[in-house]
Amino acid sequence: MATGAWPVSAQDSAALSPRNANYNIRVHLDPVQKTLEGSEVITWKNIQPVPARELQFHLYWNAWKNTRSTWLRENALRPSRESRLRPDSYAYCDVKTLVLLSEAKNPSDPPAGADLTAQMRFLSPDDGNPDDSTVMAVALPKPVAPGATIRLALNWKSQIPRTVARTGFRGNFFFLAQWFPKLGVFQSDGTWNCHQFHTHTEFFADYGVYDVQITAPAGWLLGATGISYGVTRNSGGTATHRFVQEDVHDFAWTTSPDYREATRRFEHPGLRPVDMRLLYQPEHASQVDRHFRATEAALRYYGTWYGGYPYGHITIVDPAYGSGAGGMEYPTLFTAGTRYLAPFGGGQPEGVTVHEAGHQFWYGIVGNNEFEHAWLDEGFNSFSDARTLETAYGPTAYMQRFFRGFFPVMLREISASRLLGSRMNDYRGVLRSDAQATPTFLYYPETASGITYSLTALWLGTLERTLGWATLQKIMSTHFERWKFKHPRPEDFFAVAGEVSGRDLTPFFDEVHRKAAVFDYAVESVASEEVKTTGYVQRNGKLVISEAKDLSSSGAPVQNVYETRVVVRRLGDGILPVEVLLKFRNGEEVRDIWDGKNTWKLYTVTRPAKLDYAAVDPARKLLLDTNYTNNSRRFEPQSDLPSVKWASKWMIWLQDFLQTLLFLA
Amino acid sequence: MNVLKNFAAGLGRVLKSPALILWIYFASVLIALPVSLAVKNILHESFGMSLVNENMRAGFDLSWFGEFSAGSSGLASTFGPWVTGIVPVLSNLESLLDGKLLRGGTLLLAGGAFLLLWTFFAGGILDRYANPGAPRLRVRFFAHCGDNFFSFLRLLAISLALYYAVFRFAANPLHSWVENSTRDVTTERTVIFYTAAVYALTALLLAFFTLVFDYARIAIVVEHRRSALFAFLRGLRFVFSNPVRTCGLYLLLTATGLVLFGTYGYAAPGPGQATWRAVVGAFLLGQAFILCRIVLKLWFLSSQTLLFQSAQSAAAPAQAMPGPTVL
Repeated sequence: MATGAWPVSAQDSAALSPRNANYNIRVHLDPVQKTLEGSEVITWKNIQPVPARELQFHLYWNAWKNTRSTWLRENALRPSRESRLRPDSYAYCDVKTLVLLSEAKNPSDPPAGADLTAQMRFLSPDDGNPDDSTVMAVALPKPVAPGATIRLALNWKSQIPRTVARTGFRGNFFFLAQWFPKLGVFQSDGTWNCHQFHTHTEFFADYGVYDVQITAPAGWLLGATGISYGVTRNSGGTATHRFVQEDVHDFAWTTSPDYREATRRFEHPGLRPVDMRLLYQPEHASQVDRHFRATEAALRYYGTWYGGYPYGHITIVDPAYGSGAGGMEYPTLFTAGTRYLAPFGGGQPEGVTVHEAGHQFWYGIVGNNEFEHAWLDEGFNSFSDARTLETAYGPTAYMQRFFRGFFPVMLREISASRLLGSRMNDYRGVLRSDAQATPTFLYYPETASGITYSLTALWLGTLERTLGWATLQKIMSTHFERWKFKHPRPEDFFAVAGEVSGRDLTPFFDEVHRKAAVFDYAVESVASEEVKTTGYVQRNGKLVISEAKDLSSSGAPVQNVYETRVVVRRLGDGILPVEVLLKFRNGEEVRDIWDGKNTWKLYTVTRPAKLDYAAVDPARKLLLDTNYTNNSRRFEPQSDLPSVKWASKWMIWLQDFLQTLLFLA
Repeated sequence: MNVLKNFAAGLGRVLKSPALILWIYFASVLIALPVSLAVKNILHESFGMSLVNENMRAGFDLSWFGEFSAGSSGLASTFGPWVTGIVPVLSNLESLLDGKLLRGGTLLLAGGAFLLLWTFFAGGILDRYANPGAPRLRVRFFAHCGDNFFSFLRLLAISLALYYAVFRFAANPLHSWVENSTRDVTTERTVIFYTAAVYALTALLLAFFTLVFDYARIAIVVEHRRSALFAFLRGLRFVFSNPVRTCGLYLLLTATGLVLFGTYGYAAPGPGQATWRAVVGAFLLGQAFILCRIVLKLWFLSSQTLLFQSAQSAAAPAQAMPGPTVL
């Protein structure tokens, strides 16, 4: 039973968060049996204005208890994922006892109170699956009044999976996340927000103080959320590590005998210094500096743009090869991920490091509900990481990996914008899927990521190009400041956006968030010819049939004047205003803002030069346009050079293929 | 005649018959050009009158490519940024070593047609290399092509069956074994090492079979055999009875090939040709590489023919072999 003294009080006046869900945990890792045995004392305060009559807990690892769980049933719907786990990937979290503690007179007294173990039952609030056991409920003997605090003691045992959903083991590498029984979030309407674990959702919890003692093999390096409060060597070849962290909503840890450690201090004017600790794989020693630089970029740019990182320390975990634990965020700790051969500019480790470090801000500090509105952190973070990477590193280069992915070849001459690069391809795959406003756990699993990450990043990019970075940055920093250490909802962000920009952004959010709209604007046709009026014209006060070629409608001779007609179309159902540009050969330009409400618009313009080209959204502000190729059209036919050039390269590829075939003959 | 002499003399014989190089080259152009024109039309249609033309003229527009690939299938799906630089060579090499050379229907027709053409020409080519002093008559060339075609076709069938077997029973199971046996390995370097070992073994097996089939073809022409199976066994026997010379020559030629690939890898043009002159230059460089690959393939055959003949003459007094009737 955990009875350690709290280094920081849950009632500390310097608290950054409500600190209403506090965990004091002791856990023992058995690296041979791959089990965890733990005990925890939860100190929970009801901060809602209504009494709580029961408690609800997440038991995330029961998602992999057997194939009847909701997680595995949903996972089977994803063709890209293995629907069945390996035998050693099945896992569980088995709560042995649950006691509602009475107030101890002395801290050293053994815990006593009401044993609620027999009251434990499983709920399936999302899909009614009777075989799912990822949510556990316990009725309380008496309600917890608003403002009251209770203490609970739980004992549990868990089987560690071979890594699933970025938690588990590979060999003697362990990454433990969502590993302990954890309270849901009690809401002001008297219900618990405690969703089942779904294959495409992440997490949601209240803020608190975590004081965790971890017993693992002695000599193994261990990293965890928070600050180390020392290591005690035990008999039997184990050591107990104590980590404490205030004002966070989760706790993860990792250990392995293979880890190497490096440290560095991040300093930037106006921002709090941060001690960075990197646990890396020996084979990635040459990439230590790249991990630190990427983390520094995130701390610097996110800190400057949105608000400072408040914790003063961060742990970067370079996970073991093939562990599947990479690319995940936890408070004050995250997993990056790289390859043995990782050429600079190819995305690893910089891309994943910036993204996961960025989650410290969107997810860690601003703690939205990832079961219902995952886009609020994943999307914000995808936009922000792309912006950070573009600022710190420039565009990304095209890379292809050969021989089962081990051997990378980079074509540095082919580059793409960090935001548009992969996000548009990802988003294009989920068109006509769920509207983003649908709760995340109800998204069709295979399309969830495109809606959550890419659609949000693209509409934020559109907002940036429409409102300007200064305004968007102010919107996001205001949202950050207002909602840090709280649980914002989409409406909260929309309200801040409208307030800060001073504009009614409702139509914008209607299109990009509340509808599954497809955006596709196009130049349908262009024509540009010398002015010529055929038919009756006024001449000498009479209407006569026109004979001359170059006549205006008044009958006066006109020379070198051209009438240009451009038809622009809206091919999708997404409606947002776009700019239309007509560029003439003499350099003149005609610009117009088309509201896009009708499905097409004709522009007729007379100028002393022929049209060079017409373009809808020439500055590419609407990043959600799924077909940008049809947004522009030249008047004159195009040279064959580009198609000949690329077809000739393709031909060499084919000829090389034919020569390679001769190995067989 | 030692290996080095075979190597050098083999090149001499190839260069003395430039028409053969051109025959094979034109065969590859004949197959590749119509399909490439179809690809050109697909690209031209996709670029349309759009400003994307400018981007694709100056380099490669990945944004356009995302739109293009989202809606492409069949032939169009084979186009991508991977057709530039050294990537195509690596991509084809990977297909060879992963047993995916014959997978995917789009290019199978082109590949099949080229294999048939090569199988047809191989008889005439080998006769030219085996009998350099014989009159260089087109009719003789085609007579040998026709005379050996069906034997070579049967040999091709055996070769394809063995290629399939190498992957079905050796390479793929070994890759699976590596994957399973390294599930608890936490260092990528170790897995790379094992995977590279499997690739090396696969390459060795493929090289060995290529070697045997080369000598089987040579035996068919030089010894006027008809049975593909016996020719294969003859090739096998020849390699086993002359392991140092056959493998030494093969290694020497393979090393030459690696130098060629390395040079092209260094010189291969990227995506940046924006003028017709640059486009033509890049294309000609690519064609020069293809020509060099053809020369290399013929070099293999000619020097191996020389080796086969020299071993034959060392083993037994030379005797005139009847050739096909040439009218």
